[in-house]
This record gives sequence, C-alpha cells and structure tokens, in this order.
Amino acid sequence: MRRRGRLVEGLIAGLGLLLPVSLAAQPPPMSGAGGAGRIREARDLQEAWEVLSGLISGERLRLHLAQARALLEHHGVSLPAAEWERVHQKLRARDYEQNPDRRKTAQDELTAAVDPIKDALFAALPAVGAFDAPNDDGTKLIVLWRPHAGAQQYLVERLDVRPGRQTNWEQIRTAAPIPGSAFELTDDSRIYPSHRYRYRVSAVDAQGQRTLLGETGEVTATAQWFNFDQLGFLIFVLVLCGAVIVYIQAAQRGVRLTIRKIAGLDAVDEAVGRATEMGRPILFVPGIQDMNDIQTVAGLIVLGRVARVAAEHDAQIEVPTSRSLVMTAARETVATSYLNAGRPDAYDEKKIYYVTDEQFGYVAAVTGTMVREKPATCFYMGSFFAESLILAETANLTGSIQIAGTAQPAQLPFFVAACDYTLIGEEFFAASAYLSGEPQQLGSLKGQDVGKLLVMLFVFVGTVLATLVETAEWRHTVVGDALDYMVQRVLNTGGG
Amino acid sequence: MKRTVPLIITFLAGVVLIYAYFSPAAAGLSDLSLIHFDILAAIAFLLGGGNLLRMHGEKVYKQQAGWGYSLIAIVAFLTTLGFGLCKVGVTGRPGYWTHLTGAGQAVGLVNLDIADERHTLTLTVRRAEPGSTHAVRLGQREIGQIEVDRDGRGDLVVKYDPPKKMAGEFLKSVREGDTLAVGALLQGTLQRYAPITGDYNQNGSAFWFMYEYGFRPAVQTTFAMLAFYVASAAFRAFRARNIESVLLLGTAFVILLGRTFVGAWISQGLVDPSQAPQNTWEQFLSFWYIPNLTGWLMSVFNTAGNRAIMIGIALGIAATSLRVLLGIDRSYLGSEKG
Repeated sequence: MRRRGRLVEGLIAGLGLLLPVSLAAQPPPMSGAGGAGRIREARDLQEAWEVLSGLISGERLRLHLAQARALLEHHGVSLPAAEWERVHQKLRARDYEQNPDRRKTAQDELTAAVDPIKDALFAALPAVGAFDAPNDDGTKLIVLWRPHAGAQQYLVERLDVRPGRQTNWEQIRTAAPIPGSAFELTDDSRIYPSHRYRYRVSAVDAQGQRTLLGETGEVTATAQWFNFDQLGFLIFVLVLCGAVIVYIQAAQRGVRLTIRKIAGLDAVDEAVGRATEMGRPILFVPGIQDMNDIQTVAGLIVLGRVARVAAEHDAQIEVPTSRSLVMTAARETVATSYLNAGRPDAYDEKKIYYVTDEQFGYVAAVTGTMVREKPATCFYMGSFFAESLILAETANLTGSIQIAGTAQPAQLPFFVAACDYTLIGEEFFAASAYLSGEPQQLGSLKGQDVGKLLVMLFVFVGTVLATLVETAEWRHTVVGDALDYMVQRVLNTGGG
Repeated sequence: MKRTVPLIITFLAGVVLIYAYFSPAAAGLSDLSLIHFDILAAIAFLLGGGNLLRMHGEKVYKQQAGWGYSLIAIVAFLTTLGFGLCKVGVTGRPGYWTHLTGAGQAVGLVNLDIADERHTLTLTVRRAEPGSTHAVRLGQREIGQIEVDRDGRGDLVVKYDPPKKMAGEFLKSVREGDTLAVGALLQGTLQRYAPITGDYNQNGSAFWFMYEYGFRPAVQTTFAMLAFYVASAAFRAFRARNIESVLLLGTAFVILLGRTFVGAWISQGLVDPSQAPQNTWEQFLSFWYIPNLTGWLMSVFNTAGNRAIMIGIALGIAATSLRVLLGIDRSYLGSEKG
C-alpha cells in the first residue's frame, strides 16, 4: 500500500520514480536507536529525514504529505482522515487565494495544519538516529535527532568503534537549534569507509544544563557503486550514445545521410589553395590547453585534415604549440597526413614546435611569427581565452584569411568579429566528421541531432511549466512539483 | 600495433572516467587517471624544453635572422630554470624539524611550521606497536598523547592559531635544540629547516625577482594591448551594412551605455524599476531605464543565445568523445583511417 502510494505520487511529480529514496541501492544496516520512536530502519530514517525537510521547507508539499502519510501508516501511526483532509483543504485554499494579504493568512493556516503531521513524524523517529549518507564515497554519515524543548545548543559526539580497542567519545560538532529545522547534521570529518561509528546527542539549555537525548547503534559508512542522483543524466547519456551508434550503423549499411553545409569548413580548401598561390605558410594554432581538453583533441583532428590538404597542395604548415604533449601529438598527426598524401619527404618536424606554457608568452611568440612571416591563412582550432582577439586582430592586420573554431562561448564574439569564418561550438566538433565525409562519422552527427531533439523537448516542457507556474499561479500544484523536479533533478544533477 | 595500443588506452581511460563520474565508490579511479596524465605531461615537458633549446640553439649556431632574440630566449630560459632548480636566494621555511629514533622498529618525524602568527607541530609515528599509547614530551612539557592504530601508525597535531584561540601557546617558545620524545620509544632534537626546504618562488628569491620584475610587467603589457584590439575589432564589426548589423550596433550601443554612468544619467527622467509601483504607466516607462534595459538584454537575449550554444557544445563534445573512444575517429593519432 505504501509503495503504491509513493508510486502514484512519483508519477504525479512527472518522473518521481527517480527519487533517490525509492531507489536506494542496498538498505544500510540498522542504525537508529535511543528513545521510543517506531522508525528504526536506516532506509526509513533517511526517508523520514527527507520528508520532514520537505514539510518544513514547504516545497513539493503534496508529494511530501503523501510520503509522510505512507511512512506513518507503514509504521502503524495513523492520524485521523479528517486531519489529512484538513491539510489538503488548507493547501487548496492557499493555492487559489489571489489576494496577497489573505494568501499570507492562508499560508499561516496551512503551516499550522501541517504541524501535527510534523509532530507525528518527529514522535515516530528515535530520539537520535544515524545513517549512511546516500550516493557518496563512504566518507559521510548523517545524524538526526528529535528537537528538544528549551535546547539552546546541541552537542554531537562520536565514538569510533574498534574491536579490542578502548576509544573515547569525541565531540565533533555543536548545532544551534533553528526552530523546526535543526535536527540533522552531516558528519564528514575523518569518516572512513567500512569503519563503524556510534553517535550520541545532548541538548544544552539556557542554564548550561546538559541532557543526553540518546545514543545510536553502530553505523557504517559505505561507498555506493552508483550515484542514483545521476540516474536521469545517465539515461540521457545512454539515449544520446545509443542514437549516435544506431546512426553510425545505419550509415555503414548504406543509408544516405544529409548534413547541412558549414561554410567555414568548405573554405578550408580555398584557404590552403590561397597559401599555395601566395607562397606563404599556413599557421595552425591548436589553442592553449593540453591534450586532456576535448577541444584540443578536436583541434588536432582538424589539423590532420588541413595538413593533408596542405601536403596535396604543397603548402607549408606551421604549428606553434603551448603544451609539450600537444606538440608531440601534432607532429604525429601531421607526419601521418603527409604520408597519406604521398608526400612524406615534404614533412618538416621543425615546423611544429613548442613555445611556452605561459598564455601571453605564447601570444607574443605567435603574433611575432604572424608579423614576420605574414602567413596566408591562419587556423585557430581549440580552446582559447583572452588571447583570441590579440591573435585574430594581428592576423587581420597582416592580411591573412582566418578560420576559427572554439567551444569557449566567451571567445566566440571576438572570433566572429575578427575572422573570415568561425565554427561555432558544435560546428567545431562536427568538423572532423564533416571534412572526412566518411558515412560512419557523418552518422555520429545525425545521432547528435537526436540529443538536440531531446533537449528541445525538455526546453519546451520546461518553458510551458515555468510559464504556468508564473502566470497561472500554479506554483503549489503538481505543475510546480514537476517544475521543481526538472530544476532539481534534471538540471542540477545533469550539470554535475 | 602502433595504433591499436593507444586506441585501447584511450578506450579504457575514457570508460574509467565515465564510470567514475557515476560511481562514488570509484571516484579514486578518476583521480588516478588524472595523475597518470600529469606524469605524462611532465615527461613531455622535457621534450618541449629540449625542442625549445634545439630550435633556438640552431638559430644561434647558424646565425639566422633574429638569432640575437633566440640567444636572449635561451639565456632567459636557462637562467630561470637554474634559479628555480637551485633555489637561489631561498631561505629555509620557518620552523624546526627532527627525525625521531630509538629502540626497535619504530620511527618518527616532527615538523614545527611557523607561518605568520600560526605555529603547527605535526608528529608522525610509523611501525610502532599497534594499539599502544605514548605520551609526547617537548622539553619538560607533556604536549599530548599519541595513539598507534592497527597498522602501527599514529599522528599528533598541535596548533597555535591566535585568531581562532587554539591551544598550543607553548609552541611560540620552542627553540632549536629542544628535545622531543614519544614516551620511552623515540626521541630527537629540533633543528632549523635547511634552505632547500623553502619555496622556489619565495618572496625575495632570485626566481621571484625575475618573475616579479621581468616576466610579469611583460605579460601585463601584452594583456593591456587587448584594449586597442577590442576597439579596432568593434569598429569593424559594428558598421551598419545591413539590418542585422544595425540591430547588432544598436544593441551594443545600449549595452555600452548601460554599463557606464552615461546610461543612468541620460535616462534619469525615467523611474528606476525598483521604485516603480506595480501595473502603472511608470512601471512601463521604467523598462526603458537604460541600466534596466541592459540587464534585460543580457539576461534574456544574451543568456538564451549562450545557452543554445552551450547545449550544442555539450552534445558535440559527447559525440566527438564517443567517436574517439570507439576508435571511429583516429586522426588525432595520425591514423590512416578516420
């Protein structure tokens, strides 16, 4: 019954099934003890803790009320049906109240109606409980306790339980009582995975009198093998990767794929040809980040294509790098391109050289090269920061044709203003597939479009929900819950 | 083989990093991969430094055009490297240290670091009797107890930190030659840190001097030139050639006004939106208050455009990473295919 209630509420919330509460991997060992509370299982302690937090904050109230009811009933605590009906009446009254003054009164009445439910939950909790923090690397434990009337401060102590060893209680933290909310703390100080700990909490009153509220059983911090907060993001990644692979396979089977024209990439041949005609070199700048930056990898992929065209046209290519590892990788890339073009003799290793790791030292060297050698064509493909405009403007003054590509949004306007062609964000990453013309690489671009469709769907749904919440005052309805879910579970976790 | 091994390494490293992102228990694997990358990059730095010397050395040797600049580059490189490696002008870090020795297997190390007003004594004991407890004495004073854990290790940290009013005031009076003992197990005599223990870029060192008075002004001069480049690029970009350019020019002009005092000054007749009463003519007019309009342009148009680009970039990164991990795109390895 309890599970069904939660399922229904989860569906109401949009994708509520993904709540970490309902998907905790393995129930941690029993840890709640002390006091007369009925909730003792660590999983239930955790759920009670989350529900109480929700009831106190007032966020996603409908969902938390349903969870509170299911939790209490599961533990044999039944409040009169009229009590629940009264809360829902107050909730509806608050939601439909338009007058700001009367709305404030309705909110106060709602808070008062929720209080007995909070009290019932608090009463069902042990005086002091502890459980392993969910979705962590085994270095956090959460301690919660029932608020104590008249407490000015809570003292939380910990005992490191070691077999055959006498250890002492250690005071780890003090907590000030914030009415209705200061009932938990996360202990992350010197907690080691698989070690066992016990906690006790005391309340200190205005006279400095200390009252022991209770002591927990042994609790062990364990590292979780999967972070369920990231489940939504994982699903998205799997769908995206699956789509890319499906389209790659489709391309391999001979399905014809159409990719839109990218002017900056179509201009590569023209730019290299210009260098050949003018008898001047091509300057390729692969950004200022190391090989662990995907933009540098994407830059080198483009370098491979440019070097091949340059070798075919018998044009010279020069690559100053700001990282040693990039220099090594760039040499390998260019050497193979020359080999593939049938011109290994034309490859000159000295043209791919390391300058310095220092940002502006590198800029000074590259701009100096531009002014001295007046390259016919400049490519900027990689990760750039403040140096982008200095490079692009200097090459502009020397009359070079310039093609830039980066995924640094802040640098894009500078490149757009100063360069002839700019590959904006995803175009830059599509460059290698586009230039190669290989069906399986083009297939990956099509798969990427499926991800874009998904994102568009999310944006559309999110916009509709946010508009309803703002304009139709549906903040405290299921629409508000669904919007909260999208913001907290989809956007926040997806952002890492 | 030359291509297969790098592809396997790429695939494994990629899979480990993806797995570590979703698994808290495997978070250490991610750090391990990054450490491996740092080791590789450090080794590659030798290649880079060697290449730099070779390139400029050849220029000087053959007296090619601009060989004088190459000579300056070599001298500056070697001097900075020498100053940094030899820690020229560096004084030892303030404080004392000692090795603790005694009977049996156990060993210990004590560091007393003094940074500004703070004093921190760290005592580490290794290979001692598991489960044993020892009193630690500094001179005649007992400063704490050290508990040896099940692996035979124990640590003690004593701090004196005036702003936080921590214990350990006696650390201020510690001098060179004072004795430190761990029960009857270990003992040693405090001595000053050697000059080599100081940071290579410590204030007043030769490396610091070169950085502060040679390198930094040069870097700041280069950075300052950016202002002129911005002006020249803006001049070209904001020419009103067509409808789009006019829109761009107009928007840029409003942002420019809104970001300076002029925007507030010329629209001062309009009500500041924070002061305007709701649903009134004043509230409508306040929309055109230039700092407000600037904020609106930035938070609506600019943010929307930026986010669209960011989403495209994220998807592009995912697809590119997948191509690289699966070995579909191998051109970064200089492969014949892909």
